[in-house]
Order: sequence, then C-alpha cells, then structure tokens
Amino acid sequence: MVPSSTYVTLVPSGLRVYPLNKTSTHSVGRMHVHRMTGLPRLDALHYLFTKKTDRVVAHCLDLDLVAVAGDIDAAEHRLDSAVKAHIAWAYAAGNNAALSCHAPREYWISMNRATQIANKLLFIETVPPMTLPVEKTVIVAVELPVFRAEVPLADAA
Amino acid sequence: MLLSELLTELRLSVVMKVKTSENDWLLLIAKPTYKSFPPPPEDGYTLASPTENPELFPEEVEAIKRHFRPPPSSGFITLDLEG
Repeated sequence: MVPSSTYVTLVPSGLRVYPLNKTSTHSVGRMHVHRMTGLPRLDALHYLFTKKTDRVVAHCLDLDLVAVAGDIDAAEHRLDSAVKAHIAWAYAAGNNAALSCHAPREYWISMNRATQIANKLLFIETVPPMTLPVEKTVIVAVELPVFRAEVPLADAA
Repeated sequence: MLLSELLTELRLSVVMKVKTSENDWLLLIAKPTYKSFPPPPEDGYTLASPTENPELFPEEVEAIKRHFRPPPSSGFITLDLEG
C-alpha cells in the first residue's frame, strides 16, 4: 500500500514512490517500493549535521529522526542507532508508513547548501539485511549571544 | 526539558526500550492509541539517548513534536480568491 502523502509513477524497473515535496531543490530522498512485499525500499539516507556552540545536531532527513551529542562522531553514532532500530522495527512488522516520514522541506534545502563530508555505508539488520549509502553534509549554525534582563516587580510598578 | 515531562505534555508513552552495546538507550515513543507495531510515523518516534529519561535538547523536542503534531497546513495550498 502506498502512503497517502506520496504520488506514484510506473517505470520499467518497478513502482516508484516520491515524497510530495518533489519540487524541493534537493532531488534526493526517493523511495522504491518492493514489488513482492510492498514495503518502501530506501535507496539512500541523508544526514545533516548542524554544529552549534555546545553541541552537534545530527538529523536523518529521510526518516526525520534527530540525535544530539557533544561532537559529530557521537551524534552520528547515536543517530545511526536510532535509524537502524527504526528501519529494522518497520521491516519486521511490515509497517510501510513508519518509513515514509520525511523532514520538512527547509531541512532538505539546508542539506543542499551545506558542505558535503565523506559518505559512508550503513548496515541494517533487516531480513534480508540491507546496506544503505549515507550522504552526509555539515553546516555551522550562527548563534548570537542574547543579553537578557528582568525588571523587578517593585521597580516596574 | 526531561523526556518524561514531554511525554506527559503530549500524552505519549515509551512502548519499547532497548539498551545498545554502547550503553545508549533506544526508546520507541508512541501515542497510547497506536494500533500497529511499530506505530506509523504520526504515532511513533525512535529516540536514541544516553539515559532512560534524558534531558532533551530543543532540536529533539522539536522533532518529537513535529512527529506527533504535524503542521495543519502541510499538504494543503492556499488559494488567493481575491485575486
């Protein structure tokens, strides 16, 4: 069954499902549907790392999962764990919908503008096992200090 | 914000916990009304954290809320009938 937030085209290689935000400047994030099981088959994963002053936010845009840690390696490792578990649970239960939740469009645009870093392969323990290529980019968030002050109640009166 | 506080606010619960070999926790968060396992995206979220009840970062809070409270305008377009 095809998720309602997608549209479908038939191509010689099988059934293809695209997210609705196809008009995004980023052309990736496509899923294929397996002919026999009807499960969405992810072709690739896309990780966006945002470096902040005190932490790194790792975001898997294909599943809209987020992990945060002190450095990029720890954040990526944590995100890998969540992504693997999420996909494995979905495949084990044959739950198509759990794999069709994409990050909002603005994050895909950020990914397109970010600096690409070395890609990798992610092994996922599904049946049969799958290995997904992971495209990774990193951006540095600009954070400005905000000076805050509060007027005591007595002075305000 | 603690995870437990967010769960209370959004009326969610952790329906599965797994401890990884690196001593991280994988928590499957879901609405109490979910009907299939694992829950569909609008009903479930997988969080990796160092503890069972972590202090969440704003980005994690935002992602969890996004899953359970999708923006009402998504999937719709606005027509300017005036002209």
